[in-house]
Amino acid sequence: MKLRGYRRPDGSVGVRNVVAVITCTGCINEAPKRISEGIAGAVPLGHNLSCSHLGSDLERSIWTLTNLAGNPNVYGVVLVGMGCEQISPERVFKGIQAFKKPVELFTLKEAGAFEELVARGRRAAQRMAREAAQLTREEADLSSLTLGIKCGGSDTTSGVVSNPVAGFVADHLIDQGGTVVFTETPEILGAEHVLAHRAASPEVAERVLEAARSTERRIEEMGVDLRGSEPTPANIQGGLTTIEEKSLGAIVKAGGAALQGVLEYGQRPRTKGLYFMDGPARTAELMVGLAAVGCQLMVFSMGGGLPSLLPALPAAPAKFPLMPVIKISGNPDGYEKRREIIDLYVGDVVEGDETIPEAGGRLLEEILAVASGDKTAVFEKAAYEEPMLIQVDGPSL
Amino acid sequence: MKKAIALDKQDNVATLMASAGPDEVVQVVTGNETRELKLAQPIQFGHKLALTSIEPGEDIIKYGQVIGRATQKIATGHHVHVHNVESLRGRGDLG
Repeated sequence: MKLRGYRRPDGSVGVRNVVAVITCTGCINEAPKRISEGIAGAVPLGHNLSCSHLGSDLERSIWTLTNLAGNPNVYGVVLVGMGCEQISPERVFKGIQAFKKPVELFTLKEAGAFEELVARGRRAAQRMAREAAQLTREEADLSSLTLGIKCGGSDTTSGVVSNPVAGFVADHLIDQGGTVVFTETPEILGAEHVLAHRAASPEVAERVLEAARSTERRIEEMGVDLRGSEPTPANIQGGLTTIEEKSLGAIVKAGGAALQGVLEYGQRPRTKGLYFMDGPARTAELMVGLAAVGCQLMVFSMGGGLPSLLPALPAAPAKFPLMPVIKISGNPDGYEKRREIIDLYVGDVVEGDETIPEAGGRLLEEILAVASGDKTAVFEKAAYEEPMLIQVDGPSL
Repeated sequence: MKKAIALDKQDNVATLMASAGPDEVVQVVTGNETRELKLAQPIQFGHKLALTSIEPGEDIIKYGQVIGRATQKIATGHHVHVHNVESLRGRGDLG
């Protein structure tokens, strides 16, 4: 099985071919919007971080923006900054250069005026968009894929149908030399021992247990009962009773391969295989993190209920254009209402006339089609836009 | 007959794959094995039923793993959910 993608100078393969217009600081999120306006293939990527954050939050934003620019789906990068921010434009710029792709930096300080900054950025974006349009897709192996997998709007069908289908595909991709990344630390509580048991080394096992412990400690320090937030009220309506049940169903989406490592939010894996990214479950932050990890594509495994009626993803930047999302669901209840906004329906497994491997085979075909340019319901059709959300742990000043 | 799926042989609950009424007999599927069980009350699609009688404080087992603890006695065929099961994790409220 092959896909058709764009070869990048660092040897990676893009399944999309965008010019990313990225801000260093959220102070000037207006700039990437104005710069990319009307330029086909240029995408504005503003975000939530600025000098109002501290220490590890700033460091995380620097490596996240750098690695996001390095995502194989990005042809070239127009980086814009103020020239006075803590999230150093020079550091981000130098980091992006390591990916050997076209990158240009423009600051308000050097441009002298906002309109001049926009004009300079637009010239660069137009040039890069013309260059990108010259590229054609080439055949590439499955081993070039890094697939992100998330579940959301979960109910009891998630753990029985759509997550096992995603897990089947994860196992297959890893067998073929590819990489699979899953995340959502709050949603491994109660299942971390199962993951630790599958870890490739004692260090990895300890890392995954510590990720769960530290998340649980932070919840307990707040003096609250996790119930009502995990599982969410929508999860509970769908039949999920406890976070343990939700987690045990959630980890099924990552298949059964050995866990090679635990990644910090937005950091790159060193080898191929299965990785866990220690990070939040909230879709908006999660997608940015997975794109920075290097995922070219994401599978979103859904239950039924109200979240599955949303045309976009729940709590997500719907037009986040760096990484196409394939939405699958195995809940037959009211599926007709959701037909247009689900990419792949796997509910026939519930009714008994399709097996998990058969549905997994269809998902694999869908992944190859989308990786080769097919559009998906959420990624290319959703309506609203908003800046990216990068994970923040500390206070906002 | 409507189906309920138990994911592991050790499970003491199964997930209903269609809403079913009281006294309705459903087929409980565990891997290649099946058996019949009568519901004691109406249970909706995607929710769980008790496969055995469960004592207060006893573990609820799904996927062969502990998913919580019974807060009251749950008789065979009854609905198992937040009204009679509590989570053991993320319980900052317990001090």
